[in-house]
Amino acid sequence: MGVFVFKHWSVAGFVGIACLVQPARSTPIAVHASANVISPADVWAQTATQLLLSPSPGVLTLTIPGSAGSAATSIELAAAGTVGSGSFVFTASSLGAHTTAQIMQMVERASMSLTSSTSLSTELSTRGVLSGQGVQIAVLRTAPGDDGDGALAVIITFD
Amino acid sequence: MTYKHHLPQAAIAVALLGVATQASAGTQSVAGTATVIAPIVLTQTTPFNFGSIVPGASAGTVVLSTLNGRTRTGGTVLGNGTTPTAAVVNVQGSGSSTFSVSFSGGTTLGNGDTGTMTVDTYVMKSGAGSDQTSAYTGTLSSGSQNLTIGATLNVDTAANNPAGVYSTATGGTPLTVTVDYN
Repeated sequence: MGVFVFKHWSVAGFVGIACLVQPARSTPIAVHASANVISPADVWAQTATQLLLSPSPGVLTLTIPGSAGSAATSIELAAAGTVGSGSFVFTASSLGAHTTAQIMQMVERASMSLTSSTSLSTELSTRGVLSGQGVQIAVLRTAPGDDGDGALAVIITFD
Repeated sequence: MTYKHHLPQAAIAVALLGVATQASAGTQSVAGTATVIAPIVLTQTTPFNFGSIVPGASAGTVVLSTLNGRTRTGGTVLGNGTTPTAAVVNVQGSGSSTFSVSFSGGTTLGNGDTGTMTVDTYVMKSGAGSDQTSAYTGTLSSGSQNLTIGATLNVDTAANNPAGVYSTATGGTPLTVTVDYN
C-alpha cells in the first residue's frame, strides 16, 4: 500500500514540473505591409458631382453635362507641373466662349458652389467623391477675354 | 527495493506541491492541482495596406489609424485606388488572461529596387478597446483576441519613391510582433 501512495505522488510531481516549463511567450510572427505608389498621371476616377473625370495619363477630362437642347461638353486639361501641397493641378489654356458659358450656367444652376463672392467668373468649387475618397475640386477660370474665352485650372485636393 | 526507487520522487512531489505529509503508516490521499496554461499562438489576419500614395516634391507621411482611416502630412498626397487597412493579429491563449505586446524589427517597404519607405509609430487597440501608443496590453476573451495595429508610413520625395508597389515582401522587412502573458 505504501508503494502505491508514493507512485501517486510521483505522478503529481511530474504534473507540477510540466506546468513550470510551459512557455509564457508567443513565437514571434511577421506582420507584412504594402503601399501602392502612383504618379499624378495615374489619377483616375468618376465623381458623384456634376464633373466627370476620366482616366488618361497626364490628362484630366472634365465633362459638363448637357441640358435640354444642349450637348455635353468635354474639356481636356493637362497636368501642370508636379504635385504640391497635397493637390493636383490641371489646366486648359483656352476654353472657348461656348464652354465658358456652360460653366457659368452650372454656377447659375447651383451645380457648383462659389468660393468667391466677388465674381462669378473667378473661382468656383465643388466637393466630390473619387473612388470613395472625398475630394475638393476647385475650378478656376482666369483671364476671360472680350469674346468670352478664358483659361481654366482645375485643382483636385484629396481630403 | 521498491521504496528506495520511489522515495526521492515522492520527496520532490511533496516539495513542489507544498503538501505536508505524515510518515505514519496507512493510506492517505493527497490532492494536487495544476493549471496548464495554453501557449500563445499568433496569426496575422490582415497585413498593413497603406493604400495608394502619391509622393510629392517634399517628403511626407501617411498615418494609418486602427479604424482604417488615413491622414497625410508634408508633400505626400493620398490616392484612392486601393482601400487602406490596418493590420490585424489574432491572439489565441488561455481564458481571459492579460498579456503584453511588443513590436520589434525596423519595418521597411521596398519596391524591389532602390526605393524604400520606413514604418514606425505604431498604434494598437485590443478588441474594441482604445488606441494605445506605448506599453501595449490586451486581454483575451474566451481564449482569443484581435489586435488592430495602425502605423505611420514615411514617404520620401517622388524622385526617391518612384511609382510601383512597395512591400515588406519585396526588399523590405516585416514588423515582428511578440505577445507575453502578464
